[in-house]
Amino acid sequence: MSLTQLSKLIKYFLSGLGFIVLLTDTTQAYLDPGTGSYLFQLIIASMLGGLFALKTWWRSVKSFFQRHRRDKKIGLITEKDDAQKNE
Amino acid sequence: MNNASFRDPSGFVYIEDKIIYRQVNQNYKDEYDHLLTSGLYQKLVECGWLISHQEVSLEHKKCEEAYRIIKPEPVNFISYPYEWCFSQLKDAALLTLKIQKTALSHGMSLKDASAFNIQFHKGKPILIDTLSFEKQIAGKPWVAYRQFCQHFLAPLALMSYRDARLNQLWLAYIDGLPLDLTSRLLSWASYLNPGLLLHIHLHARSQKKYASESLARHQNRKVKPDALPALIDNLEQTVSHIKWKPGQTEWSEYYIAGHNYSSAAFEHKKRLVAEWLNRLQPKNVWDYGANTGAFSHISGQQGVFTLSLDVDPLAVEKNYISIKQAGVANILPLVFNLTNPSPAIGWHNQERATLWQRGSADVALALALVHHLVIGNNLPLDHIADFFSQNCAALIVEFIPKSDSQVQRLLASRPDIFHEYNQKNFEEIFSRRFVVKEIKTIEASQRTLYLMIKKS
Repeated sequence: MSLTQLSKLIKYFLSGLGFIVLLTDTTQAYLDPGTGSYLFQLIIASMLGGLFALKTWWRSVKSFFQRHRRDKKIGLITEKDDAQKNE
Repeated sequence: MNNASFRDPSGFVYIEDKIIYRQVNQNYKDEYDHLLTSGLYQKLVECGWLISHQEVSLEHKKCEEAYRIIKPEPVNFISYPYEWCFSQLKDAALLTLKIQKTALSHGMSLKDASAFNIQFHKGKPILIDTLSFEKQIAGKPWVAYRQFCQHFLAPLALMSYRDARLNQLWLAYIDGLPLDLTSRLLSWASYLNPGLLLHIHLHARSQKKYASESLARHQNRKVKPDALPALIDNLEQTVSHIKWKPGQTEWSEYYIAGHNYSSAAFEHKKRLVAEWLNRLQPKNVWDYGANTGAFSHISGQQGVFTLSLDVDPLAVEKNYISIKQAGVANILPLVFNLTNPSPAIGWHNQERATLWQRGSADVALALALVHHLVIGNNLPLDHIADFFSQNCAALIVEFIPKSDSQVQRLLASRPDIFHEYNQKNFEEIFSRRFVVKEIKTIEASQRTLYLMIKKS
């Protein structure tokens, strides 16, 4: 995980735990979102955002290794290539 | 105006010359135009997730507020979440989340997440409310989050962790199940499910804590742009992981166990039903007491739209799963108790209609049903004949004598006070309302099948 990704992740968690961010907008919807539900969503959405970033990163790591293994299996990558990479 | 279409000021549904129209009001102009120009409408319709519509002349408008009049593709039958089995509600929930994800990627968001906006069309769930979208303002939380949890997550959790029959709580709570009540009713095991812990238990506590707090003070708070897709993703995972592992119920195993039903009798009954339906050529069939839908599938195979109604949530679940796997488009299985049918509920008792206010049956199937109504529910034969004569044009009905082991089973725990229950009385009472066209004894059984046409 790069430093930028890590700092993004920490920021999400902190903003979630520190009860969020300031900007402006007025809700026009006809549906009552409910104060408790609205505030709860603000908190959990930020935390889930962090987890989501982590999950996306993990998926990309997993798919990298899966791709690597597949390429190796069909002969696109040889032992020699791996050795060169490790040098 | 349709009685269920008055809450949202963006427009309303109405019927003119038996055609359904939806008026889009001027105040919804920007959102409606964005739905079409952003490509969201086209994408959702292509996926089969949103009902398609045609724009028609403004001559059809109901008031000056009209911006557009649209004619949505008609749906065969309107059903309600309290008539759905577990997997129907789950599929409807997952569809709502898929639509919300797609909407967010097109700069829009669902402004409501009502389960009543989802219908089963051609065997699959579909959103029927074209005006459910609003432009997404950056950082604005999902306004329908509470409604989604109440309409989908709460009943699914109760059905999964407690009992599938708890879906009937919908009848008391038309805007979805209150989260505090759901939280109290759920088992401790549900606290171990992170999604339910978050979206039901902690959510309910937050609602209680901020119950008297004004939202205006907090409306300047926003969510990060990536946080909303993360919330939807988490809800999607939570819903996907809710499973229902029911035990066997009496009815869902009825055909499998066989009971007194030999396969020869079963096949003969199927052949008779197929032959008579083929002769009647109905537009639709309502199969009362359909169980897992063995006979509904006969009319379905003949291309007839069929309501497959049964009181047992597990039988309906099995029926729904089988039509889903087979890709059957014209059978709609619903949980339905004939002795206590879905009532008219909501504002002025007109918001949600009874089954018969929503349609009528060309042919009703009442197979292995009458003995349950008479002996299991103390209903006089006269009342039963009256009911069917008021609710179908033709009737395929089965009579099972007292000597049959199924009837004996019903009588095992009670004294036999049902002296009027015999074949002679049955024929006499039904003949007052129907012309009996065919009488066939079912092979290898003591049962008789009747084809009757309502007297004009």
